[in-house]
Amino acid sequence: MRHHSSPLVEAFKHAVLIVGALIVILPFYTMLSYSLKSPHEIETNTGGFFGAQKPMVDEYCVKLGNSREQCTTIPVVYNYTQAFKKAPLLRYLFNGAFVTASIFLIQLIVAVPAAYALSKLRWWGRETVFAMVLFCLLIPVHAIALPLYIMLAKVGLTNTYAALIIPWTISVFGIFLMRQFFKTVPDDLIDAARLDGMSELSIVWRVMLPTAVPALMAFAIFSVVAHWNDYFWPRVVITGNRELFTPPLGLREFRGGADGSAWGPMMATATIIVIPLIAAFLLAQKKFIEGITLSGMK
Amino acid sequence: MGKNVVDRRHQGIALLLSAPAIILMLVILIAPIAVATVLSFTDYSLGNAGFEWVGGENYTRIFTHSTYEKMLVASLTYVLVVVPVSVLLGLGAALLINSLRHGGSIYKTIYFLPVMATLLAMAIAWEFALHPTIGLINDTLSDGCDSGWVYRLATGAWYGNDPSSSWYGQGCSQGFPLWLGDRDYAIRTICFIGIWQAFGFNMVLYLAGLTSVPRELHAAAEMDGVRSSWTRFWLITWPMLGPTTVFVVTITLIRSFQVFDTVEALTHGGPVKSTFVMMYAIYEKAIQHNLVGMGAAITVAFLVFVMLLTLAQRWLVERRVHYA
Amino acid sequence: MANLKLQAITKRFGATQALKGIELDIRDGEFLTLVGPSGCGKSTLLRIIAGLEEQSGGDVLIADKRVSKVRPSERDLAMVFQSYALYPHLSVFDNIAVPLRMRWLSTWQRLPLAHWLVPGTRAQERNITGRVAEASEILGLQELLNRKPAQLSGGQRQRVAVGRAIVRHPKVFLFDEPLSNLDAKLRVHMRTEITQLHRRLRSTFIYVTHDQTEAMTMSDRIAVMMEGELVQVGTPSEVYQNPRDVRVAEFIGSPKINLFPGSVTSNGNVYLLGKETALCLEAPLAGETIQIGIRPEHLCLADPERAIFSGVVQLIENLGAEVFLHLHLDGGDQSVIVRLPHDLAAGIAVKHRVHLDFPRERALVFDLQGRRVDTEVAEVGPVREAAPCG
Repeated sequence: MRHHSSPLVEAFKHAVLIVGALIVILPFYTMLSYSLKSPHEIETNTGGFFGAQKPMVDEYCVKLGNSREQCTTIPVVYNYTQAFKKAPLLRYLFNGAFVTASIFLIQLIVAVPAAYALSKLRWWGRETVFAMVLFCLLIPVHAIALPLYIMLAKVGLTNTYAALIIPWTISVFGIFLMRQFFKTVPDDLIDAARLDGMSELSIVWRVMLPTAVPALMAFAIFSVVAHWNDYFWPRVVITGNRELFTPPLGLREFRGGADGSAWGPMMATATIIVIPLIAAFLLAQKKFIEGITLSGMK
Repeated sequence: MGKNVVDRRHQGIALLLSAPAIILMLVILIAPIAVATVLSFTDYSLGNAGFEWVGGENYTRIFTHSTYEKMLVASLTYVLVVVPVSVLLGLGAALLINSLRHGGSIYKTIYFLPVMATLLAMAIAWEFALHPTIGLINDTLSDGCDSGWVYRLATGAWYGNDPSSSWYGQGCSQGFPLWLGDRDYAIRTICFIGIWQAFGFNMVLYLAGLTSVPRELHAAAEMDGVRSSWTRFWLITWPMLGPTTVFVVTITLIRSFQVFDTVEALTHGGPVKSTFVMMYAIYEKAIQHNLVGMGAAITVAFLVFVMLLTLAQRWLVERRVHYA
Repeated sequence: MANLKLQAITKRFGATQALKGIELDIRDGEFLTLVGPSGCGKSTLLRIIAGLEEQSGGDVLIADKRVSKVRPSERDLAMVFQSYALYPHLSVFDNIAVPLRMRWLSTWQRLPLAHWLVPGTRAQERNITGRVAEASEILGLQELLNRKPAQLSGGQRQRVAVGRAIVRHPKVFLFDEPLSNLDAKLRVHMRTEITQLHRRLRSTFIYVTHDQTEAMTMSDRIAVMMEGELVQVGTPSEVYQNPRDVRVAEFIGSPKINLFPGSVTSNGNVYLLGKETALCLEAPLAGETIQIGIRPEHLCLADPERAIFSGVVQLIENLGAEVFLHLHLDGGDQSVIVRLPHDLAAGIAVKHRVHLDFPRERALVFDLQGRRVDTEVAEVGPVREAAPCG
């Protein structure tokens, strides 16, 4: 439109948005800053954002019989090495990646063929199954965590990878999203593929899936963000067995036993957990936002 | 061939393709509802061989026992604060960003960061920022007490208010709140973190809604004699954002009912059960204290809430008919 | 009602010059069509007249008043948009009433519910209802007033958009490709409806289209735009019979005009494909190559010895009443389209050789820059006289 707001109004808008941005960034600032500073700087709230990075002695390392020189480092190195030493953080990260990836792959394998059958094949019972999908969309998995937990406990699956993955293998949201997308694919394309001699299964994977890349991206983003960050469900089904901890569980355990001296390493852990998704988001911002938006357009 | 005509050649393959989904839906989503419903009428606990039927006792407790009353109060407070505030903030941010000439995308990126970040980690970061003695927030607030103009502005002394009667003035003289440790402030702080995390998501959906408003509609409004942006908002923007609003409100509602991470990490439902929200109640009662029957009753109540809300959303969406 | 003047209108979008000094007088009550290929700047010009876009230079005068600083809503124009731009959440009645409500009611009177408390609302609403009823009667929308736009067909939406424009009785109507979203049959129908509306309202209509048929059939005058310039303004028959630019000749008329390379001798004689034509230039242009345009309906079958060129039929399009022959001329890669009445084309089939001639006064000669050059028929020999068409 040709009527632009005056520079003064524009400046005011920026001022409001900047204040908002500062509040939004505040915990990120705290997290990063603590992960850089020495325990003393954290406890006295000094040292600014980066801390003075004065060499410090790791007393625990000295107790193990090393010389003081060997145990002297600067805070940022101390925090980040401690993050990996105090707890098997690498193991947690691996668990997180493994669980997240498994969940998404299984969701895909289950949802895509079903979405195809619901959108492009005419069969007896289709309407009933679709009604079931619509009903299941009403059920947040977190809400039925308790009966799920009881069921898993009854079959002895708590404290296993299976417990972390099984409840999420079915994504009705994924079925719904993919179905809506598949419906826009012309029937002629499928008939052409059939004339070319493709089986229904290869139509699903080799014709339908490639046409649905935007929906797939949206689905992937939702799934990965939700399960990498999920804390509630791992908290319920994993009790005590550190081998199976996901990153949020590891961080929570760290915090449980943390005193002032461990705050730096703890925030280093938090930073390491948060960074993969934030980095992915910053790198592929447009895709992320498009994906999130697509899901809202149903 | 009509659209709803069954093609028998596809029957077998269609069933085969959807079988995994059907089975998993039945076992993972629908069976647990039945299990929860049955358990909610018992005093079952894990590890015990048997159980007693207790009728509706668990449900009566939800509405009569003070702990569960506090649970309902905490949950409803959280939902009723977080939903409207985060939706309005999302809308406001989207409108502001959309009207900017330059630099809109940087705010969009920043406001969206909390949606991506692990909530548990950010909750702990907030806890440090809100730490009564060494936290950045109280530190900054008390710095303001020593700086004359900030003090006068924040206490309202500039416009003739009594500094000691204002919230900020009292904070300066008697110390600022303990936030998470304070029974009056804990739920508000949890709400605040909830809003902080949710509004960027709403903003992104509203921004998408705004770009889908046809530009010719604005031109038409201009020709029709719409002069103020206020009128334009009510004539075009708000009605056109209707479907987005319904979606945003529902998804925020459902997510707010599920708040858990912040409560578990920061307050454990306290102080004095002021932040004892539903998900945390299920976790504490049924999983930590093994009162499965009670937890199942809360689960059922919870499901009923969520389903009613979603059904209301669908009804609202279907009532609206826009361009085909 | 009012006349409208455009004075040296220019528009720049960054480095591109979208409009290059448009001068145009539009008379009171006239139906003027801005026509041109897409991207020629016609929609931009319309939006500048409306005030939705600001010109980089020049002036728009409505009823002899400069309106450059006047907001669109105050220019007393109404516009019908290509996408109709109806408010999807409002009923047909409310859509048509919006322009009046925005003008006649105060902010308070527009508040939901509370507006009945404000004095005067009831009387104004009665006036509005009367005007909406009047407009909807003209357009035959009475039965649809309670529907939402989504429940209407394309043609009905189109009518609502027009209704929203006429309800205000504005001085000037602007149409931005209003028929381009309709199917072919409905387009023909709406064409006559809009023409009738113009006859009835006698207001100034400015109509933008890329469809030369719409321009030819509806307007009093056509303004042909090319690459940000007005190339020719005139009545439909002037523009068709007497194009001043080769681009106009090519754009107006379907099937497209046939263009042949030609040359001029020093004494002004025109040669077409190397043959003498008995055409002579009025002004000197010796030695240059030129283009000669002949419309498909001006080519006619001739005896082999009298024909100026011959070719082989490649394709026949039979439209019932008439037939288009697509030919490939002998000796060269020149293609030609001939438009013949059905009976004359009887017996012609693909691969046949046919021989063609044309009445000399119909030939349009253009110079290298594409400007029209006037010609006269130099000598009328006995052979030419017998030409079967003309």
